[in-house]
Amino acid sequence: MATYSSAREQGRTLRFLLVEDNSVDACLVLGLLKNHPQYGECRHVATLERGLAELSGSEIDVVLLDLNLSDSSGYSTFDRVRRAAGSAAILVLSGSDDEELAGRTVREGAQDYLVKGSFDGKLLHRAIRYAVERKASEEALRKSEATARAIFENALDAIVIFDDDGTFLEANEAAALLFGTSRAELIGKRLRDLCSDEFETERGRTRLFPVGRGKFTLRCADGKERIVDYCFSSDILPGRHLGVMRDITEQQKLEDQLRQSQKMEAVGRLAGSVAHDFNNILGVINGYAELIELHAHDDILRSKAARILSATTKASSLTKQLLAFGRKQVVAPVLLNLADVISDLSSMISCLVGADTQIVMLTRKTSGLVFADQGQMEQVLLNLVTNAHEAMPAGGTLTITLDRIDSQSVAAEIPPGDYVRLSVQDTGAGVDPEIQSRIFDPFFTTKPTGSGLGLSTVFGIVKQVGGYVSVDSQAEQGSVFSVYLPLAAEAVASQVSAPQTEQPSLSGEETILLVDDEEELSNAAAEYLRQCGYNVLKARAANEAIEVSRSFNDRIALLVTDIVLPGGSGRGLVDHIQKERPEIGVLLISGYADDMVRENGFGETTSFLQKPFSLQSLGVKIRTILDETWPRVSR
Amino acid sequence: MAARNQGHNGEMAGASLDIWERLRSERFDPVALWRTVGGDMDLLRQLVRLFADEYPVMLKKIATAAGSQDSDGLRKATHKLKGSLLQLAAPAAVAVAAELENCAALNRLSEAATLITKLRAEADSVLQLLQAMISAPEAGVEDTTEEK
Repeated sequence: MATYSSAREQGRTLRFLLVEDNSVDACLVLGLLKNHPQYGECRHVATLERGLAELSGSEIDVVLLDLNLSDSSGYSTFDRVRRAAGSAAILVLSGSDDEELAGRTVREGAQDYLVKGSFDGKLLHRAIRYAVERKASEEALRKSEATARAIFENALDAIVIFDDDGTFLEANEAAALLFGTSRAELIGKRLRDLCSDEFETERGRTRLFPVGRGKFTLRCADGKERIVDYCFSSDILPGRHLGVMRDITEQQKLEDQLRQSQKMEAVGRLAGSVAHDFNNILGVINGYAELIELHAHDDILRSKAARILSATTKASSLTKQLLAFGRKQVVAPVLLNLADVISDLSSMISCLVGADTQIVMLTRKTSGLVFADQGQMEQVLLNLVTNAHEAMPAGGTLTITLDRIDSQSVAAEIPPGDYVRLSVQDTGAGVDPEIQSRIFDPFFTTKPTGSGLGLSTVFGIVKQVGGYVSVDSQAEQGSVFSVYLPLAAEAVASQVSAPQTEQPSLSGEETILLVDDEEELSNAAAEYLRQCGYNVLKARAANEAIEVSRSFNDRIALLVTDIVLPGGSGRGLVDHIQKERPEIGVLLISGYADDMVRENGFGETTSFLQKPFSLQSLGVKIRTILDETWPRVSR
Repeated sequence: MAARNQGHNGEMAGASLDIWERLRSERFDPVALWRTVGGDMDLLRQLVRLFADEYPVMLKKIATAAGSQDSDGLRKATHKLKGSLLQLAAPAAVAVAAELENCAALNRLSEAATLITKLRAEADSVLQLLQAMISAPEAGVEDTTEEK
């Protein structure tokens, strides 16, 4: 639609359609329009039907319309032309000085209503000009309104218009959805009745500003609270204010969970780091205690050394649990009796749940063996216990059951077979049936401080070993979390405790390059290995180890190195030494876990010994590697 | 503006003005009509010619509708003639046409015959006055600019 002035600026003339069946009147109008510099062609038709045909087939800027025609009369003539006119301005030229009809047509879209005999050329020209301008404005407004309406109706965010009192005047579908009611219900309600007090305070504060943004809690129709991100624009029209709200409840929850997870991750890393340092110290204590035990000439001294070793073994167990918590433990599946795992952790479980929770253990040592990593199984148990404990904030009874079952005897969808079932039962509030399917999802938690990782970790570990997890819960009757692990073997003591191979001899004469920056630990290990007959070369850093290697002209059979070294990584050292001595064997030692081994680019075939280790286990490990790499006969 | 012969605000000069003033009455306002046509004598002549041709036809339609008791047809036909009379600044004829249109709208067709006779007389008079107007000496001397 061209405006009058834009048409003039473009050098374009206006195109007219005159719908008039009175030839005298038509002659007058056509006569008044002719020769005007801004008026172009004026088509004249005498019937409505022909007028409508012209409108559908031609581009018309202005329709000059008589309402009383041979085929139509009164308002209906206007109404039909209006529907077909599109962006053309309509000027009614009527013989009826009917105020009501004039008002109605103008109200419904006519740009003007002129009574025949009351206008001359000057008035007609002015009316045409105003009509064209008015129509252009109306068209622009209509487009703008249509755009705004489409945005309003289709927005995914809640949009509301409210008055000075905070009463909703308009609300879109998303708003109704957010507030949990219908749009009709929402209109007339006041913001303050649906929002938290903090919002009213905030709104009072921000009323002074034309625009703003905030966050507040919303009370929905169902009583639930939602957190919304809110922005407003005051006085978009006098006394009308715009509010746009986005439900960020889930986002907020995820952010909180992520923060919590990151915190837990940091705690885990800290635990792993503490365990690493602690392991080194334990290694030194352990090493020297072993040496004392080895060299003691009297039983009293040997007995005292044995007590030290017993204490370090217990301390070592604690660090292992710390590593399990930080998920830094070595994953080494073995045939495992879960009854032993439960028994080993019983003291820790007692500490974990506190005095207000009674612990009941129903474990059968003959339930069978599973093929799993001990650390991971400990983690599964601890996570389930923690979960059960948190489900009973006021205390209760925690029952740990270990038994063997046939899959056909349980309702859970488990493939046929024999399983060892570990169950942890609490007497808490139970798990809402609606969320039971989600409790194993990562980051899903119902606890304000939960990370949402406990049960998901259980799920992950159990799946990894080919097992299944199920939950059986009823409101106010507690929950039972059961872990089903495939039965790997019967629980025969010898299968667990008997060594897989014959204990090798600990003595040897090969040269070993021992690299560790923990000097005390290194000294103890070197002394022990020398006593076993080995020639031990020592270094505290990667560069030093390379120097030692280069200056030693004979064969070095084994490189025993920590993964983390000053002046370079264990990975770099191994690569370097193996380049110069391709035949050398490698044993990695670390207070960290196999994660670190892999992070440092070592394959799973690389021999690894986790600190703290006993000197005897070091001796066994070294002898085993050397015998595999350098059979004694060929030496 | 070649066809424009006279000022459109109704200003006339000389003999035309005097004659048109004499023609001015409750029945006909030549000054108003002159203003309506924007001082375009050609247009005025064309209108008069058309009116002379059309109004008998319109009156015939009115009479036919009245004769056949077609109140709606009577109303529409009368309305059309009234429109022309409005444009031609003939208030007395317009008043009669409006009365007849109103009678038709109210279905008071018994009054129609009298009003039709009256309307015909008024229309005849209007035509005479229109012809007198366009026949006035010196008509169409002046020219003025038009609203753009």
